[in-house]
Amino acid sequence: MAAEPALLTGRLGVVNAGVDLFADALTAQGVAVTRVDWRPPAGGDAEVSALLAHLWREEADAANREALGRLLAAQPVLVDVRPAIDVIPGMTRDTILHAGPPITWERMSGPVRGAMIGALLYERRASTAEAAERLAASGTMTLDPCHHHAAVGPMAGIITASMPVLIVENRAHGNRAYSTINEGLGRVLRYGAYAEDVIERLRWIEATLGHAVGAALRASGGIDLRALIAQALQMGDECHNRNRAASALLIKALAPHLAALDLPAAERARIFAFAGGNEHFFLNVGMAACKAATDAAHGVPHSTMVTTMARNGTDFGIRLSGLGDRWFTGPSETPVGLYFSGFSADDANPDVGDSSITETAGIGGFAMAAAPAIVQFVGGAPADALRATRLMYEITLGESDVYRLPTLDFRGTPTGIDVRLVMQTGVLPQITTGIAHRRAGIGQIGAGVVKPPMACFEAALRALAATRP
Amino acid sequence: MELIGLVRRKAYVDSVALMRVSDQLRALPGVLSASAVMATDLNRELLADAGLLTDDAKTAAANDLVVSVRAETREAARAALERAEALLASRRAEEGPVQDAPPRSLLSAGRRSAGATVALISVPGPYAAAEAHQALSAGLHVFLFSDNVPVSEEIALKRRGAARGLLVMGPECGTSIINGVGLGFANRVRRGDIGLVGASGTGLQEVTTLIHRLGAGISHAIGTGGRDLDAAVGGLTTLQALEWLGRDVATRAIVIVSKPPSDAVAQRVLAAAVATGKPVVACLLGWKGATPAAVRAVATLEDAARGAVEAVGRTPLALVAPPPDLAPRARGTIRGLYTGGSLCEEAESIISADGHRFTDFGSGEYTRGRPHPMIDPGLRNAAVAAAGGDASVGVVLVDVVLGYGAHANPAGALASAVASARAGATRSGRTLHVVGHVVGTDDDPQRLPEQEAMLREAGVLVCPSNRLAAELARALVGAPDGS
Repeated sequence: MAAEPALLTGRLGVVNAGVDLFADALTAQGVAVTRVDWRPPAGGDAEVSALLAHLWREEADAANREALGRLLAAQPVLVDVRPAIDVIPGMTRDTILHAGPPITWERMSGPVRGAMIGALLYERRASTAEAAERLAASGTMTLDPCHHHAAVGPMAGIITASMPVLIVENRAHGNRAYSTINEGLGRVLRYGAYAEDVIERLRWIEATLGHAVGAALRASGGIDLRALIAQALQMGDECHNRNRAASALLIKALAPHLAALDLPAAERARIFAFAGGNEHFFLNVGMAACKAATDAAHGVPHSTMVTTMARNGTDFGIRLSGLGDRWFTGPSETPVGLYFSGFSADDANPDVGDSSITETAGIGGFAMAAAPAIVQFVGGAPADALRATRLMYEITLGESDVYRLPTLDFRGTPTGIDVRLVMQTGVLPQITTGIAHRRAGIGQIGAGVVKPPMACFEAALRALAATRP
Repeated sequence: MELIGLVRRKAYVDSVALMRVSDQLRALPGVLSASAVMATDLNRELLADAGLLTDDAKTAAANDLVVSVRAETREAARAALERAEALLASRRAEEGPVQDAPPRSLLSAGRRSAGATVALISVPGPYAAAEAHQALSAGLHVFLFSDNVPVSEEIALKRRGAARGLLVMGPECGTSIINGVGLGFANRVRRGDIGLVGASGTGLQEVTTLIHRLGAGISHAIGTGGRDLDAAVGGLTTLQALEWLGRDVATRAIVIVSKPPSDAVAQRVLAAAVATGKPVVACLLGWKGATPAAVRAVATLEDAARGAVEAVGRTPLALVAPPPDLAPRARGTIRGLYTGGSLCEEAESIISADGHRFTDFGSGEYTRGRPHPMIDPGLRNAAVAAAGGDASVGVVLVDVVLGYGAHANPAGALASAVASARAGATRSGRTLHVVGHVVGTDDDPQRLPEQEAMLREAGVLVCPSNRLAAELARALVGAPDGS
């Protein structure tokens, strides 16, 4: 005789969605009941609910296990710095990569246009801003998302051929991801600035910093970014809006190898001053690490897991592991946040940048509980940060086994956004972000929190449902 | 216009905290602009751009804190600086430990409670299938109380469940008792060795409580939802439950209870029941097909209970109804006013004569936008009261269902309706009998003896089974009024 059915012999535990009366009845019987704070999905849209009913299926569940497994197993290692033209797949001299989903020049926001102009000046494709603008608008350049080239960029996210790019290798799956070297704060290209000092800095990064960091990395044998991020989370970073600890750890790892390079003392000093003076020195490195992990998780048929969230300053776009290269977009919202002196929400550009790859991979806003120093962005008290992170467990498929949160008893960060759970619960991913001025070149004017538009997730859900047999 | 500021040397404050301070200063009356920053090179530039760089601030360094305020008056600027000092000094009041917010989905709830095995779902119909599928994805058995779930979804859910070894009870499942735990509407029934499968909620409640009254107990009572034995669904849950009860050591005899089933499905289900090798009693209300010899087929819920008790080798206790000659014969017809659908059907089939009327207040037309009558019997009780003024009615036949999930004092609510009905009949010189049956046990939260006593006090002829109540009602109108 086969074994007795477990339901009939074991102790009953119940989860209740709906009428409280039935949960009360179980409590009265001494049975453990967990009550769901249930509300109709998609604000009561029965059609969405019917689609959801078709997506809670074995093939999606199995695909998600595979996709999440790859995301969690990724082993990003920072290995080198090389010119973009040499390493980024599909890169050409006529290509300008940008953040977020695809967009035409006509629809681009101020800071992204400014950064494109700056990049063309830097590449010596134009000698004046006006000429650069004409060239960018002419249609002769290929404007393409970084995400289509295994790359990510913060804010405008511009990458052109000559820029040195960080190379992150995912040693678990063999894929690579790329990002530029962070330029620091203030007037910088990624916020759309293209004055001479900006271009000069880019040239120095190309001529000196990139070579030095690349050589140091090759000498080091690579820096294990998984371990570094795990450590930074325990030192008060969430690795999107706060990168102080991670930047320090990165410089610490690079320092002996940079010091050993055959460089003029003044150059070496400038390298350390530049890296040490930039509290977001790690941001691009962390983003590339997250991109290497999410790319490995991309392309699992039927998976409902989000593998990209990115903004181009006009649109917010997401991609799902199970839906290949299709983007699902909605209008990019303006972050809710705190502003530097002299600026207000009226000056803010709609949310921009690929940096939300961090949340996609389970850190950044999802690891808010790790970063008590910046809890002002989510309400002001450490308790608000814990609540913010806890809410993200409601829309994720799993938890990191490496990135752990001390304030939540070392629970792993919520990882792997499930579009089904987003639509079911109405809870949107929380992204911590910098705020750019809407005019090119002014730079960062604040920081805060932003959410993707629900429309992205609803469109993705409909597309998933349409692919079912 | 006044610009004043303060500099605190070597006083590091996190930039985000400072942005919050700046924000609050700018909101003060008379303040034109304000900034609290660490005096890094970049920040000093920003201060200069904003016209906020005081002379002191010009010489400040990266580890120095600068607060600058430009205000309409010197007083306003001073007040703002004082406010800045206070804000920089303040610490938020200690909060208690952060409570975890309740889970927003069944999946999340399942993850949070390590011992979770069953999802109880009673959300509105249009959303129910998605919830149930999610519960299966979470590895949970499903008790689906919700109605208005498309039959295609019911089939998909049950097939998925069966493939994963998960039981899908419902949709429209009113009751189950699993390992002593009542789900949905369920009575506190003695534990024992009789296992039940039922595509009928109140049918299952009647049989389980009668088994209790007859002196025996149950192992499990598995509800399947009312459509399970329809041709389309094909008895998916019933077949799975029968197989499980067959393997369950605690179960020694099996009872199947159902509303009228599809013929082919009934045959398949009975064959599966026989295959368990355990004694089987089947009460398939309204079904006239051929029953396998190994199955004891019965026509009433009471006989199902009695047969099951005998099948496990016990002698059923006696159930005694009030003798019909105690009451004067009634002129008129029977008005059956029920909260339980299967009880209503059973009474109708027992009385089986024309001219009598039966209403199931649990059917869809009466529950749209309102709770089930077992929770809120208001509509039914109003009909009972109204029967007092209806000269065609001689006997009102009612049910009362106790147990978890049901009204806290259903007999009390019914008693006042009965009193008003009888008073109305008396005023018009009629005799009106009210015959009732209470589904429940002495262990139920509402306590059966007290509920029955309340009804007797109101003049209800209380019977220990629905079958006896129906038979008494029939007898009461069976002969002309002899008085």
